[in-house]
Amino acid sequence: MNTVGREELEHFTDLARRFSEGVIAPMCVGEHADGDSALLPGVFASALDLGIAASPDPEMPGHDFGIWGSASSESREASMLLLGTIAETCGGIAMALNMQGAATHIILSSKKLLPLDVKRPSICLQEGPWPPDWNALRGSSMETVAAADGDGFIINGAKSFCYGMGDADAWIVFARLGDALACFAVPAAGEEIIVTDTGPRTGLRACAAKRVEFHNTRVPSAARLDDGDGSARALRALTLSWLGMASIAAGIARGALAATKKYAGERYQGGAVITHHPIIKKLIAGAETRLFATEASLGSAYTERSDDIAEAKRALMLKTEACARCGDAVTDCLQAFGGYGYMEDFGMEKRLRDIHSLRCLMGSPVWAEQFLGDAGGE
Amino acid sequence: MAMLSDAERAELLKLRNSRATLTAMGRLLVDGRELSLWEQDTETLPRGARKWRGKARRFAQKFIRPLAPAADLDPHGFDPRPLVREATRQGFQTLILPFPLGTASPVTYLGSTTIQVAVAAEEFATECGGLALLLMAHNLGIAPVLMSGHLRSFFRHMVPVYLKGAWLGKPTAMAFAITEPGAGSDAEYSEGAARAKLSVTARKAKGGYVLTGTKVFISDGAIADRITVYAKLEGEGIESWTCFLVDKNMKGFSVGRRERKMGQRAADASEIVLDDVFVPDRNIIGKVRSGWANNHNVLNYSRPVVGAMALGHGRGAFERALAFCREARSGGVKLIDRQEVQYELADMALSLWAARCMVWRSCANFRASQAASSAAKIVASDTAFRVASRAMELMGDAGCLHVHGVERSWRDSRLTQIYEGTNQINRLDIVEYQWDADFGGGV
Repeated sequence: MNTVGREELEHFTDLARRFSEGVIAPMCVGEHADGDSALLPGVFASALDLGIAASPDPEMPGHDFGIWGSASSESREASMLLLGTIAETCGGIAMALNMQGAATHIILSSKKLLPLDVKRPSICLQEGPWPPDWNALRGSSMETVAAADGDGFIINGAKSFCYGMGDADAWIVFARLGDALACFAVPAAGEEIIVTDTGPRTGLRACAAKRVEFHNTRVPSAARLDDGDGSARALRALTLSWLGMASIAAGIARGALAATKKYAGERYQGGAVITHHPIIKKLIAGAETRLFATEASLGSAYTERSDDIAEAKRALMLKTEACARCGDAVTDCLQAFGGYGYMEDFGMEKRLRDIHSLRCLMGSPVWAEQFLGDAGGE
Repeated sequence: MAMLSDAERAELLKLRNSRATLTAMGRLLVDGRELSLWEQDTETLPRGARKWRGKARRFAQKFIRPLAPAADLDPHGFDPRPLVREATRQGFQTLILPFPLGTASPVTYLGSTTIQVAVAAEEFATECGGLALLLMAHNLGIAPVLMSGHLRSFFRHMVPVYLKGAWLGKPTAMAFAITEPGAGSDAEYSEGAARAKLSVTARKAKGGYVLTGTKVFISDGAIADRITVYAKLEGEGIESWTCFLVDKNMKGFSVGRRERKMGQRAADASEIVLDDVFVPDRNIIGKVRSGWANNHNVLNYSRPVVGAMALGHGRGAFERALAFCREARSGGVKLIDRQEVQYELADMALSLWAARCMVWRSCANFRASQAASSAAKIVASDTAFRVASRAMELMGDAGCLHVHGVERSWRDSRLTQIYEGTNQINRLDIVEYQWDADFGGGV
C-alpha cells in the first residue's frame, strides 16, 4: 500500500511550486494572456520527467505519486495538492494534467499490460454538450457502441470534449457493449479515427479539447480495460476529474487572492493604498472566506471511500461548490483591481476565464443537479 | 369522445386554447396575442423610442452581427470606419439630441432624454458588446458639451458636428477622457475625488491653456477626432477641473498604449498622451472650474445607457443559448424539451426583464437622477453577468466555445460592472446623493 506522509506532501507541494516557477511561469511571459502555447509540449514533457504527471510505466517517476498515479487509489491528497499548487499559476495546465492523470488512472487500475506505450492518454466519455446522464453511464443510452469481432472489438461513434495534454497517444474510450458499458484503450493514430480541435475557448486554453470520431475502429481484446463493468471505470474517471477540478478551482482562487493582496498593498487611490479602503477590505475578506470554506471541504475528499456512487456524488458536489465559491472569490478579486483587472496584463481576467470554464466543463450545475438526483435514487 | 393522451390534454389546458370555454366577455379579457417578450416590452415605450428600438435591432442584426466574431478575435485588425459611417447615416450617432439638431424624436425626448439612446444601446450590445461600445462612446464624448449648458460651446463645436452627421452622414468621432493612471474610480465619486492624485494639468498661457499628462482606458481614444478632456488647473485640486475639447491634430497630442482587454475587445481602449498641448480658450467647455460637476452629471446621464448595454450583453447570451438549446441534445432529448433547462431559461428571461424595467425607469425623466442612474447600472450589469454566466453553464462544455458567441457576451458583460464607476463606487454615489433625503435622516 502506498501511503503519503506529511513530509512527502510537503515534498510534492514544493515540487509543484518549482515546476510552476521554473517551467510554467516562463511560458506565461510575453504578449499573450494565456502564455505561449508553442511551449506547451515542453511543459508537459517536464511534468512527465519530474513525476508530476502520472504514467502507466512503472519505471517512470510519476507511476505512483504523479497526479492520479497508482498511489491515489489510497489517498487523493498528493494529487489534489499538486493540482491546486499548479493552478495558482495556470489553471489550464493543471486541467490538462488532471485529465491526463484521470485517464492514466483508468489504465493503472485495470492492472493490465497494454499492447502500446502510453504517456498522454485522454478520456473519451462525453458525447454532447453535457456529460452522459445516469442511464448513459450504466450503458443503456450511450451512442458510441462496441461490438465483439473475433479476438477484439469494433468501435463506432463520436466523442466530444476529450480533454488532455494535446497530441494524445491513446484514447480511453467508453462505449456501449450490449446493455453494459465497456472501456477500451485505443491507440490515437489510425485512419479510422478522426480527431478535430473544438476551436477557440474562453479559458483553460492550455488544456487541449478534441472531438474524436471512431469509424469501425478495431481494438484487440487486450485493450479492454474493464472487468465487465465499465460503469465503475467511468464513474471513477469522473470522480477523479471532479476532485481535480475542485482542487484547481481552489488553486486559481488562491493565486487570485495572493495577486490581489499584493496589488492592494501597492496601489494608491484616494490618498491611501487601497488595502485600507473599506470596500476593498470587504472584497478581499469575502474572497478569503470563500477560499477557506472551499479548502476545508476539500479535506473531506482526501481518503477514498468504498462506495463508488457516494464518492462520485461527493466529488461532483465538491466540484460544483468549489467552482461557485472560488468563482465568486476570483471575480471579487478582479473587481479590487478596477479597470486594470479587466486588462490582460495583470492575469486576473485569465483567472476569471479559467475558473468559469471549470464551472461549465464536465458537468455544469444544471446537469449536476439532475445527475445527483438520479444517482441519489439508487 | 376519444380518450386524450396526457400531451393532448396538456395542450388543451393551455390558456390560449382553453379560453374558448369562457363567455365572450371572458374571452375578451384574455390576452391571447402571440407576442414575443421583446414585442411586449416595446409596446410599453413612447412612440419615438419604439421606432428607434426596432430600427436599432434591424441595424444590429444586419451590420453588427456579421462583424462581431472577427472584431472580437482581432480587434486591431478590423476597420471600424464603415460601421461608424453607416451608423451615422442611419442617425444613431446623433440620437443624443432631438430634431432638427439631432435625430431623436422631440416629443419622446422631452419626457425622457436618454431612452432613445438606451434602447439602441441594448440592441447593439445584444449582437456585440465591443461594437456597441465603439458606437456609444461617441455619445459620451459629446455629453460634456450638452451637460455644460453653455450655448456658445454647443453652437461653436457641436452644431457643425451634428449637422455634418445628421444631414450629410459624415461622422466626427468623439471620446470622453477622465480616468488617469493614478485616479480611476476615485474620480467618479466625490469623497474619493477629494483625495485623488490627478496628474493631467492645464497651465494658463496666452489665449488658452497648455495641457500635460496622461489619460488611460479611453474608449475610442485611438479613433476619435475630438476628445473632451478633464484637467485640473496648475497648482489647484480637482475642484478646479475644467473640460477642454482636444482635437487629435493638436500639436503634442498622441495616442499611447492600446489595451488588451478580456472583452468588449472590438472597442478600442487607449492611453491618451498630452505633451504640452495648447488648447485655445474657445475650446473650454462651459465655465473654467466647472469640470467636476459637469463630469458627474455626464455620468448620471450615461449610466442608464451602460445599464442598457449590459442588458444587451445578457440578452445576447440568453438568445444564443436559447438557440443552442433548440438544437442540441443530451441523452437523445433536445435540451429545450427538458424541464430543468426551461426553468433556467425562464429565470434568465425574467431577470433581464426585471433589470430592463429598472433601466427604463431610470430613463423616464428629462433630468437624470444620480441615484436612479447608479442603481440601474448596478442592477443591470450584475444581472447581465449572472445571466451570461448561467447561459454558458446551461450549454455545458459548449458554452465555452467562441463559435456560439455566448462566452463573448459573458466576457463583455463583466466590464459593465467596472466602468463608469465600479458598482461599489456607484453604491456610494447613491448614498451620497440621497444623504439628506434618505440615508442621513430623511426629509
